[in-house]
Amino acid sequence: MTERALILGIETSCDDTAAALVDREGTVHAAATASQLDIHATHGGVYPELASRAHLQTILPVIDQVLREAKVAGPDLHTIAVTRGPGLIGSLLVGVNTATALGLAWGVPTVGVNHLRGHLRSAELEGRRIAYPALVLLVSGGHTVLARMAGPGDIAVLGASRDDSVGEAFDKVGRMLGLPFPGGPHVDRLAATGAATVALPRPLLHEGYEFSFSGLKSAVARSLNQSPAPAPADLAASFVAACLDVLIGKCRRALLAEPVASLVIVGGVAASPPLRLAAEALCAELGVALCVPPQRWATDNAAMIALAAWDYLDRGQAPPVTAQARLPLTSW
Amino acid sequence: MRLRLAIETSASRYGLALGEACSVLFECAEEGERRDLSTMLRTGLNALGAAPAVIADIAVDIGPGSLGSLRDGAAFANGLAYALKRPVFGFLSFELIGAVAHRATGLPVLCTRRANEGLAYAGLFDGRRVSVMRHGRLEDIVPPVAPEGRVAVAGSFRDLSCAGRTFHWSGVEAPEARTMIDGDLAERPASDAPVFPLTETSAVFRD
Repeated sequence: MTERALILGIETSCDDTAAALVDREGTVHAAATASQLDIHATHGGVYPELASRAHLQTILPVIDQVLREAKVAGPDLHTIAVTRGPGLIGSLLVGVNTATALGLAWGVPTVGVNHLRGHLRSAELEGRRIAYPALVLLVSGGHTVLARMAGPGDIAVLGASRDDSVGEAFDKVGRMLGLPFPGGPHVDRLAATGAATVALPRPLLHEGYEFSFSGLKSAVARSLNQSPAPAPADLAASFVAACLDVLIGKCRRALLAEPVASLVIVGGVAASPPLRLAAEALCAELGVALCVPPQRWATDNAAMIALAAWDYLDRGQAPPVTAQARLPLTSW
Repeated sequence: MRLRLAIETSASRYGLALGEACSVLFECAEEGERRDLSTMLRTGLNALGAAPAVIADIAVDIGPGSLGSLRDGAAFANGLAYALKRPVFGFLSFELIGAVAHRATGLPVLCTRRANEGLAYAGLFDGRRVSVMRHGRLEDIVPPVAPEGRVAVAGSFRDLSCAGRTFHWSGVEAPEARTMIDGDLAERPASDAPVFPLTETSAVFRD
């Protein structure tokens, strides 16, 4: 066993093939990602079959890169952690089959990790710490979830999206506006040059903790069909403002209902500059700490999977290392 | 002990075999939730009282077949080969069904498998190797693949009749892992490179 107990994380749930070596403190010793952006850009979204093929091509080179970079031999790993779901089933299977083969050959235990639990732990990578209890907003291309965390791995879901996730809505609005895939960052950039002058709905703003972004997305489509259509920058700014009002509004209600020590925002949309600014203002107003992952670890990555695996080991959780397309946040 | 590990995952039933010098020492096949290659291999190694290090090389079916399940086999085989520093070889599904059908019939074998969207794969096994393969509508791809004279058919289409011809059903429907050990197939050059399943866009279907 190496002096540095390292977990090799492997993430293939969607369109990034990633591997990372992470210790118990959340220090990332090596990390590599093979992006499939160029493959999917022409389709305007992730094409599952092509994603699976690309994962198979890149997974071993990515793993080899992190092991070489950290000068770690496979048999010296503490554990191999692989995303078991939720995600695209074909993509997940490439990761799971590779991980179990490596584990068997090297004599290293393999743990299947819930991708969403990985996102929750991403805010504690590279020495950052969450103050518990915490309110967690998970916002990504596949999920929009508001939850309370009493401690690492101790999760109670307050509400989730009934239809599209906020990241999906960003990508679809980006496509409507003729922006490159993935739309999120491009919508943010375009929004920064416009004014929120278009009236758009704030779905479910005053109702509980659930979300709905499908109607907002449709409202953007209707606005584009009006004559004259609003300026794209103004429409993008109005869309972003509507999303922020809903996301921050729900966080405010939850923070006022039950005080917590911190607000944690994770997932790909956590990289959004306007969301970070709005969350900072809310936390300053209510006197709670804001925890967001380092920008690099906000989107899908393997470091968060490796860090989350330590929770599994500490709690004796060993779900089957099998791919699950659907997996709720509360599952291990 | 220097074992060959053979993995066959081109359809819903996954097969795994371990053998030495063309003799199969262990084989198993699983369906549904039990088709976990890691568990199947552990079972085989335990049955032989062997450790993973005795695996000398790895053979895996690379299709044509079900794309998703072929990737399961390739990902597992590549991972194992990388970790053990052993070569991994790809065998065509048509070699596996063709070799068994040829042994049974003594005829050249028209090998067939269903593909997505109502299409099919076809190839000719001439007794030693697959000489031609095509992907498309069955009625379009069989005539250029099947030679004149008596031909056996193996694979997905039992009662194949095409362009006025009928073929002799060989009784061989699906590939088996053991054929990569005892099938008397042409050997592959040793390579450290990973293997990838055939897809409908692979060059072998156009050459």
